Order: sequence, then C-alpha cells, then structure tokens
Amino acid sequence: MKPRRFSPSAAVLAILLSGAGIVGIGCFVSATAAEAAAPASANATQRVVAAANAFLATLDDAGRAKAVFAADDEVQRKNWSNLPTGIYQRAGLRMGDLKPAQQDAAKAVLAAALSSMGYRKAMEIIEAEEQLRKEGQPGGIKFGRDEFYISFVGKPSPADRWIIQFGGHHLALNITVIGRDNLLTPSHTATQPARYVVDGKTIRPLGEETDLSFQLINALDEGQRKEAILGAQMRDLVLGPGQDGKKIMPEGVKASSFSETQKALLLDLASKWVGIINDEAAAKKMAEIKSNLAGTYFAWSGPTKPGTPAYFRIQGPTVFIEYAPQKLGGDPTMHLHTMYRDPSNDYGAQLLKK
Amino acid sequence: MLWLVAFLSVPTMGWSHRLDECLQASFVSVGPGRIDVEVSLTPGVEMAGWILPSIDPDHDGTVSAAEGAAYAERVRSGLSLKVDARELPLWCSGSRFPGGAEMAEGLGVVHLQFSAAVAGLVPGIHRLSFQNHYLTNYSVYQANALVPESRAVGIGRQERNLLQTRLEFDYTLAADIDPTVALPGRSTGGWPGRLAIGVGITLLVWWAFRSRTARLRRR
Repeated sequence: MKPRRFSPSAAVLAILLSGAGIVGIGCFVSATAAEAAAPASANATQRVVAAANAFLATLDDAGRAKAVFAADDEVQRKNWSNLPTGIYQRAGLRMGDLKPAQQDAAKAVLAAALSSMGYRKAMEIIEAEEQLRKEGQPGGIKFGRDEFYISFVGKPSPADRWIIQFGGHHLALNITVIGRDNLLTPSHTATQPARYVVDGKTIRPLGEETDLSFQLINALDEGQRKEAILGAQMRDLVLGPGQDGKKIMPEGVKASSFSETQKALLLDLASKWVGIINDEAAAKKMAEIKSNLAGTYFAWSGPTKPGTPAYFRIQGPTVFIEYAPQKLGGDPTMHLHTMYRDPSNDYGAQLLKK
Repeated sequence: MLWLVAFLSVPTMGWSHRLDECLQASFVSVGPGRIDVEVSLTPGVEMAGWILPSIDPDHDGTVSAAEGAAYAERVRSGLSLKVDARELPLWCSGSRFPGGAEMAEGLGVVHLQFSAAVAGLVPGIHRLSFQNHYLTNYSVYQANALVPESRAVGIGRQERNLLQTRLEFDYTLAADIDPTVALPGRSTGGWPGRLAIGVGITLLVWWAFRSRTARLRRR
C-alpha cells in the first residue's frame, strides 16, 4: 500500500550525507517517495518538510494557491469533518483532481508524516470508502478515494507552525508541525465497513484497537470493571469533530489501580492512535502518556463480549481517545468512529505558548 | 419554502448517517456563582425537514435574532437545572446557527448556550441535576460536565440515566471562591479571600524590599 520507489539521486544524496558505511543500498530499494525527498539522516520534520515541498513542486501556481492557506487562517484550521463530500465541503486539493504523479507526491507527504502502521491505516480507511462507493452513492453524496483533500495551513517550515490537513469521509488527519515536534491531535479515524475483503484478504482498518479494547476490559477485575463501565448508553463521540477546546470531566477506572499487565494493555491500546504519527513523534508522545498513566482513566459503555458494539474512552492529562460504534443503518460493529485529541495541546497550542 | 425544497432534495443515507434522530449534546460548566449549559443540536437529515422550519418560520433561509430567540426558548422549556433540589431559571446567553448554505441543505449544528445564576450557596457539597426533555421521542442525548475553570469548584462522580436525559453529580464549592469568575456584585469570598489577598500583598512587598537590598549590597 505504501508507495515504494527506488530513487538513485536520493540514494546518492543519502550516501553523501549519512555515510556509505551506515546505510546500505538495500535500504534505498525500499525507500518511499517521501523518504527520497530528504536524506535518511534527516529528522521527522525535515523529512515531512521535504516531502511537502516536493508535493508543492508538482503543482502549478494555481494549485499551490489552493493547497496552501495562511498560517493564521483559523477558519481553515478548523475546516475538517467526518462527513462525506456532498454534505461537507472541504477546501484544498481534491485527490481525484490530481494527476497520478501529484497523487503519489501527496501520498508521500502522508508517508513521511505517518508511521508505516499509520499510513496503512489511512489507506485502509480510504479503501473502505471505495467499498462504500461501489455499493452506490445516494443523491449528491460522494464516497471513494477521489473524495479526499490535502491542504497545508501555513507554508512547510522546519521552524514555524504549519499543519498538514488530509481528510475526507471517515478520516481527518491534522498533523501539526512545530520545529522538531510533529503532533497528530486532533484527528478523526473511522471506517464503514469496518471489515471488507480485497483480493481474498480480510481488511479491518480499526481491527487491532477493537480487539485490544475487549482484551483490556476483560483483563480488569470485577471492581475495576464496575468503575470503568458507565451507566448510560454512549451512541456517539462526545468530543468528535466540531468540539475543539472542550475538556470534559474524566470518568471510569483510574489506571493507577492497574496491574503492570493492565497498564501495558492500556498503553498498547492508546498506541493504535498515538502510533499513527511517525515513529519519532509517537515515541515522544507515548513516553508522555506513560508518565501520566496514574492520572489516566479508562471508561466503557456497552457489552464486554468481543465482537459486540461497545464504546470506550481513554482520558489522561495529555490524551483523549474515544471509540464509538454507530447505531446507524444496521450493524454498529461495521460502522466505527474514533477521535484522538490532546486536551492540553491540540494543534500545538501548548507549544505555541512557549 | 427553501426548507421544504431542501428536505425533499436531501438524499437518504440509510447506512451512513443519522436520519430520524437529533443528537443533543449538553455540556454543563459549573462556576462559583454561575452555571452554563451548552446544548449542541445536530438534526438527522430526515429530522431537518421539520426541525429547521421551526427555527426559520418565515423560510427565508436565515435565522433572525427574534427567530433564534424563539427557538432557544422552545429548547429551554425542555430543560431543567436544579441545585440542591432548587430549580434555577435558565436564560439563553448565546446562540449560533448554521450558515445559509448549510441551512439551505437542511444540515448543520445549532449551538445554544443557557446560563443560570447561583446565588447564596455556602461552601461545601452541592447536588446538581440537569434534565433535557426537548424532542424526547426523536433524540439521542449526551450530557457531560466540563472541567471547571475555577479551582474553587470540584466535580464529583457523574450519574446518568440510560438515555442520558438526566445528569446528576455532587460538586464541592471551596471557601475561598475566586472573585474573578464570580458574577458581578457577588461576595469575594469573605474573610478567607481577603486574608489570601493580604498575604499575597505582604509577600510582594517583602520580595521587592529584599531585591532592592540585594542590589544595594552588590553596589
């Protein structure tokens, strides 16, 4: 799924910069287009900036003007949604309007900004949209891989804040870059169908987090589970798209009561969102979440039997993750919405204060 | 008439989005002298056809101040807010309606903010009860307490009924209420507040004197 391309010029550049003895030729054979835009020794921000500039270089002036918004454009910063084209109109460049080389360059931006797991998840969500498209598009509603948009709020910069926005129905990635920091919050991942088959292979874009959540709730003892389970139906995300800046009171069981095994499960579950961003940024964020684990809560609503529709939430000082099956049009386990926020640092708000 | 045209032209998304329900998300914010409740209403596409005309009865595609106020009053009449079993009158303190294009498509989110003054509460534990019965038969409800902005307020465990039409919780009001977030005319918290301000000023004077002495010694 991830774009893979051999780039001799990038290989030569990387050898010069990184040292031929450190990086072997085999590494370059599997280098992505994004990695090809920056030397292998570059940090995440350098790679993302290089990939973003490489993408902009494939566009004409009109295309660049459409893709890049002013860094202080607050309207565009908040211009993202879970809804499909036809209900919600995004700005930026529509993937379906780009030439194949431009599409590859746009995907390379994602590949540079995300981990391999995150990139695969994004592509699987997009493929789910193709499944929806094949089922038919009612009225003016449009599904499919063409209906995803890419834009930058601010010019790609290794120092100043800028944001990569990539989104469409069921996917809204807001990747804020501030200096060496790369942040993924707030971002929305979702899927419908939650399970589909391509070339005989079953794909579950949010399958790992779904399975891990049931492992965790069933790993809790009776007292912990009683604390964790909320006494109300949770039919939707509480802090989904459009609810920026809100901080709800934490609920559920506190992770300070967890055993080491339970803590590991909780961290593993959180990593399915945190780890969407590139490995360098994800490692930093996971360390932060781990250091705040004692003040982190896990809440649940619904049955605890694997395969059933259940809501859960992970909430700590610097992390807010929600998972909500949608009771809309059939089996809720086949239509999942999730949200990933940082109550202290969405869009890098905290870093901007420094 | 725009609403009717919009409603008839809205496609049916049987598998994808909320149709015949209205999502009502309420966020309760407790301050020392005031309680705010934000209600976000997201009507499903099949609901929009009869909810939105009630917001814009003259069907001109925009919501005038009078139309907005009338709709807010309709929602308010379905809400109930009590502290220590005492009903608090809510007033609409803010509203935001979807823009013209969204309204014309029968889509968008209505944000309404309601507020209540809480006068004469003594420091200690109080019980808040919020209920939302607006459009009971056609709604999906959410009700959550927000993290208080004032450190004088501590929120206890939230309890809800199954459908979340009711939210209840205890909250603690500390003795030294932050005067900057109290309603105008409200007490600054009595002698503990005044004592804290006095101690603060004393420390400031002491620090300034100490800095000056240190500078003189360096010379």
